[in-house]
Amino acid sequence: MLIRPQSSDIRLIVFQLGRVLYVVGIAGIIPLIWAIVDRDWHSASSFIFMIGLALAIAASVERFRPKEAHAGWHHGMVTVALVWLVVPALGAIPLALSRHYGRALDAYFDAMSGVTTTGLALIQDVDHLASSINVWRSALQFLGGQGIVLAALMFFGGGGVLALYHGEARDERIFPSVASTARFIWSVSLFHAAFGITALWAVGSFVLGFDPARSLLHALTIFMSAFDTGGFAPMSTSIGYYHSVTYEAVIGVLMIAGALSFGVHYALWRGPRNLLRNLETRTILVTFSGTLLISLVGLAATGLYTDTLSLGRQGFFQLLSAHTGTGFSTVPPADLIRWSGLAFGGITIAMAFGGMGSSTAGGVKALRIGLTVRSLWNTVKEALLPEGTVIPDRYRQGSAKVLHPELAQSVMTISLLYVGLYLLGAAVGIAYGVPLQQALFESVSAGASVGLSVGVVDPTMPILLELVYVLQMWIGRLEFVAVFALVGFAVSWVVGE
Amino acid sequence: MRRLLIAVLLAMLIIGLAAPAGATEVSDLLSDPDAWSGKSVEVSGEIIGDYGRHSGAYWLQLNDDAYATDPLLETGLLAGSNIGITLRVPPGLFDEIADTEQPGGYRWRGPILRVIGEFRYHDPGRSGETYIAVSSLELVESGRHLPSEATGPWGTVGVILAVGAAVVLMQHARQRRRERRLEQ
Repeated sequence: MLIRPQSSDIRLIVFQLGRVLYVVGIAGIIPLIWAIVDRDWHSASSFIFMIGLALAIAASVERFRPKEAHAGWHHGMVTVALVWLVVPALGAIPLALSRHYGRALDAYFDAMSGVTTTGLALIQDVDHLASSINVWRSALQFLGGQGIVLAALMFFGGGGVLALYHGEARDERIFPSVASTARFIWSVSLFHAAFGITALWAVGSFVLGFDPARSLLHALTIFMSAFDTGGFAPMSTSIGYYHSVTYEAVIGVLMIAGALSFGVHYALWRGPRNLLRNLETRTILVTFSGTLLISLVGLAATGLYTDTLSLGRQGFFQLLSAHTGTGFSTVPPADLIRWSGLAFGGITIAMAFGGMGSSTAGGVKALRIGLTVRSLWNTVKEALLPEGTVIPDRYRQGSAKVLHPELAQSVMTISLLYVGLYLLGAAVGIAYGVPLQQALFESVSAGASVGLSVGVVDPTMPILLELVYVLQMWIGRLEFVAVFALVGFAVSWVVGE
Repeated sequence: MRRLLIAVLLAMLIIGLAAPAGATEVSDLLSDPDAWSGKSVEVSGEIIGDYGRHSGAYWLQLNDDAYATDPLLETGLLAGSNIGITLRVPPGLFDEIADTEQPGGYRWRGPILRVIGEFRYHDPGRSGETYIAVSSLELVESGRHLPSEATGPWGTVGVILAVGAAVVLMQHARQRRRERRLEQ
């Protein structure tokens, strides 16, 4: 029998949701300042409206503040699922008011793509977009990549912290307390921000010859999108705009940093002893090398690039962008669609795999792939070896751990759910007449929060397909659990007693 | 007579190979790049973004989409994503324009250029980049300011909401202080 949630449950969830909305209001101050400095009053007024609305909603639910913290696991999970639906709605306000979107749903699509660090975009005429809106698009990716709830935890703390933390698809705590882990994550990000923005600005100003003020806009937006594996770029031609290997190299470093788990960042910070013995590190090295090899062989077979240097540069960047879940590209969609056969397959598989757990990347994640393979291999060995043979089921991830059957089962379930998610978007795309290969590519890109596109995501796309991609981005980013909790909560509310 | 005819045809062929066959649209270049690769093309459009200067040349983005001819802030309508291509321009050709013209962006329609150059698709000399190596260019129209958008009521509504939020928060804070005092 399902138990209907009480009004106190709903009040608590709404209160926690309100806490997070303060963060959206605070985050909106950065592009607001940018707009004011730019004397761009239209964008400034749209940011003031968004900030005012976020604060008003947050303040109005203050009266639901519980007398004592008694938030449970399900409260945290449901809150996180709702946060990731409501925040894009607020974040879409300045986008929708910019008049660069054909319909409000397109602005919501882009905001969802932003906070989930996907990078698929329906914005039109981005080359004439206000700088402050460009900063906001990238800020949404930074906020989403870091974890909106994580940001709120930094400010407010409160009950049900652990559930909120795990709800955002973070598996590991680096420090015993969630608050210190949140502080560490933000410290790492600020360190990379200092490096990334300075390096990109310097390359833009001194190598590419850009105006220093414009170079700062490029550096800031590209950093936020690269480190949080987002993929929004301030120009329509993405990274192809810069025509610079040096710029691509800096972005590559940031994309890799973004795809590493914060546990690995901590290990690197402390001295990278035993890092290569970690199952996750080994898995990502194998999957990256494998998909790179497949893509390069496939790309060579297409004959699109006639020399090794071109093949290596373009193939490596696109593959790195796909595997880290960033979605930047140096070739336009019309060109990417010509990467047929193995090249296409390699990139699609890399997107589906994604980066490391507890990172800003999406996809199935390296640890799950490693554990799935290890578990399947153990099963094969069990079948082949004489009965009673003891098969070691230990793996190393930070410390030595045991691969329990329950863990193996849960990992495989999530991996299969991702496959199902990818197939869902592909099926709807095919139903609308999109060729199989393109439908699968775009669906994986949405579900794994990547953002590379072969042109299916377009302002003229059918509304249902757009909604399915929104759903895929939301579910893929939250890695199912929080979404299932929300669905369960809603069902209990309707049919529970 | 036949020799003369052959000579004329050959001359036409040589001229035809060297000179572009009229203006081309960037979308045509990108949709069938193999057909245009290595050929001389003529494109015109708005210079947008930045004037990059490296590797001994200017690197410009030329958009020939609907927004270049009819900007959104004027009478233009939404017409999908931008369509453009990179130009690689020898410094001597562009120095004067770079000094006097500002590239397009928000509230600014950039200069419209008509350029002739070789379409280089996946150029091995630039490790696979695609661009037009410009050999001649002409400034068709100078850049200009675009009208600012009307601000609308959103800012005022936002301020009212923010003030309302502050009042509510202050009330809650006062109430909590009162409750704590009563508890003590």
